[in-house]
Amino acid sequence: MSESHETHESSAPAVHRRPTEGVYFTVFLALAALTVTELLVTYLQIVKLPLLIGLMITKAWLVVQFYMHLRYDDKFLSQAILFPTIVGLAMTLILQVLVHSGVPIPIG
Amino acid sequence: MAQQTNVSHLPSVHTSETQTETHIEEREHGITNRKTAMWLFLGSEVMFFSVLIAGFLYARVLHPEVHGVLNIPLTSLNTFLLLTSSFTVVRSLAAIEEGNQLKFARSIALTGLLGTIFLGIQFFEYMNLVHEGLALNGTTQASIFGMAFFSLTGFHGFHVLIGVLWTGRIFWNALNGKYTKDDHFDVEFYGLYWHFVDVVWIFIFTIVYLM
Repeated sequence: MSESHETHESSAPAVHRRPTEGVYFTVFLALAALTVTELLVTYLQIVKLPLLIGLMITKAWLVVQFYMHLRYDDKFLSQAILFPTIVGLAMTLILQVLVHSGVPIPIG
Repeated sequence: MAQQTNVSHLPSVHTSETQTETHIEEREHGITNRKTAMWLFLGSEVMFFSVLIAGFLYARVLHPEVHGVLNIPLTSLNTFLLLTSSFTVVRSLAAIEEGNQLKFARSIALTGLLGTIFLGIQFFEYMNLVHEGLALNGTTQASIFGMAFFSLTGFHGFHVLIGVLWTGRIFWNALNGKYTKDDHFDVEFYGLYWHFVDVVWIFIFTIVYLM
């Protein structure tokens, strides 16, 4: 048991590892630029759907990794949020496939 | 005396009776039970909003023409407000980690202000959309789309409202000097919730308004 405790301690992230405010501001500028890019893609209609999805996921990744500190915290937290994200995404995609395939879905 | 679990990836359970001992526990492992609980809660929120987004996508497939009534420029402004509020939240966390109480309080106040403006703009948008014929009930094309739209954005707005109220509490505690350089986990805990609300909006803005 002491081995697992030592293992956990040795694999624990460094104490209070945090980005600097400069990193936070850089991420903010990146988020703003990505949002502007999203708007341009929308109005210019250039390869719209895949680009928008890519930009959306990139923005979310930046916020989760740097603002929510997930990249600096224990890997268990990444796993805790990854599983429901995959399930939610799969659920959404499956429903979209059913809708586009013409399968009737009762809406009440 | 430390108690240890059989699962090595879970944080060890320490019994502690004082705030100082609890703080030492956080420093040793970098993960606390409260932080784990918040991430698990956010995981459940991911499932919740996934269902609402799936429902919206279905409604839009049925009635794509209704999408034209949405005000993209106004919502883009709201997006920038929420993005900026995420920055002010991390700025406040950085400030309290340095022990800068004034900068911390100002950043929190600015976050609350941005969140409040976001809600105001969303309310204004709702009034316009209702005037255009979008409704929560009924069987018209606009109302079916409206049900899905108002459910998704309304629940997100409710989350923002909770966040704004929480921001007010954090600000009040800040004015009373509750948080210090060595004891401010509540701020990080609150920040996780606020950033999650921002992440959800990132998805809503793109899926509902831009696609």
